[in-house]
Amino acid sequence: MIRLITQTIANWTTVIIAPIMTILVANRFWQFYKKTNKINYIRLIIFLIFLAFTWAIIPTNLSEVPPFDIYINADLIGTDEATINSYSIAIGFMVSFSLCMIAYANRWETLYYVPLLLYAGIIFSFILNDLSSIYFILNQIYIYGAGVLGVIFFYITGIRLRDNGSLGLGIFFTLSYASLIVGENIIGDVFTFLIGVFGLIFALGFFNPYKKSEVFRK
Amino acid sequence: MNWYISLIDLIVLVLAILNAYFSIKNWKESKISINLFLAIFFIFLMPTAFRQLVLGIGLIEDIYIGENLSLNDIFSLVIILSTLQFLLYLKEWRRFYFLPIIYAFYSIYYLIFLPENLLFNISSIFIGALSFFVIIIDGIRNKNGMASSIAFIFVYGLVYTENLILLSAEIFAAFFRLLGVFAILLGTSGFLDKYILVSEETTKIKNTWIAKMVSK
Repeated sequence: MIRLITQTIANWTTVIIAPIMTILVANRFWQFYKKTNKINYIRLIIFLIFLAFTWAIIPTNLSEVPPFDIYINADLIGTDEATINSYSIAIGFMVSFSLCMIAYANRWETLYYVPLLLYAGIIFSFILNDLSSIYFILNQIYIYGAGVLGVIFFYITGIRLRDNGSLGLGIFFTLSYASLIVGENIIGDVFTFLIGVFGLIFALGFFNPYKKSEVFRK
Repeated sequence: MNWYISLIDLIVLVLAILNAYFSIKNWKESKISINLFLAIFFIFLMPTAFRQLVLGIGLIEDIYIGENLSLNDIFSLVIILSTLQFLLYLKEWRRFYFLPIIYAFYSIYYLIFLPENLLFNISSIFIGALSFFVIIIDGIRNKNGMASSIAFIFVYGLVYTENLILLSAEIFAAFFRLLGVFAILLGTSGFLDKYILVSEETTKIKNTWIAKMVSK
């Protein structure tokens, strides 16, 4: 019973906060564009990361709590990375955009599109080969590998370039991974709840450990 | 195997050696890194031509890895994707420099685990043909014989891709191999620049053909 309560609180928190976060970062990107008539690619990528996160988290979290657990077929939308499904595709794009952001922040031009091309390769190959299961393992390896690499480089980039965006996303991804590792229990629910809370702080622009960033100065 | 196919393959081998010779000569004269890349690439073409000759005679057979990855497929990938890599370098599309490697990875994965190669054949022909036309149009527009002839690497590499309806006849395959190396030789030897795609700039900047592309 306690588990059901913590799960409901945690899941509903992220379900409500995820779209708010996405709208907030989209608005910040749009305001910058309106003001300068230039695209801020870092803000655009952060928006895409949050959009993918929202796409992944809303159906999955709703499928676990009443009353939606009756109406949403968890098997249909997918809840893990073991197969290629709606959930794992969203996570795949999320980690891909993270690596794109790291490449962009560090000005590694030849690597800008590599994560997206790699992941698009898995999805296209999977579709063109009659949804062959040989791509499941590749998808899983990519998500975990790119995710771990993303977290490490987010911290390195965040500290090295004094970039709030990278550091914030590093913490955001760490919480997401902690939630996955801990699994489906009360501690996992606490991490899920923290993802929502931290995500909102980040999206509102209150996460500013560095006052001056090196990213835009480069 | 017909004797004339073996004869064509022998000529292909000789032309491949000449290509390697001219590209090394070009590199020694100009010391441009792209010429070094081409020299290494043409040296790589020599054993493929030799292998094709002994394969045709029947002295060796193709080697398979996994379900459907043959040594011919690997050669085909290297040759066709080199054309694409060259195109990306020529156009300075830095953000796509890794595209050929990514494509090669998925093709190899697909051929190792799946028992068919139709998708690989279609996609490699599409990528190769795209690179071929872009390079050749660009080369003619810039009056650059070397670049135009490099496009023909695709024609040479095409025949390594198996199960092509057009090239299933051995004579067609041999003809395409010959056409590929011959067209490349016209470029590496400087024949195209000297007699066909003549421009004042070419005569001014001898052997520094890539400079034309970069200095635009």
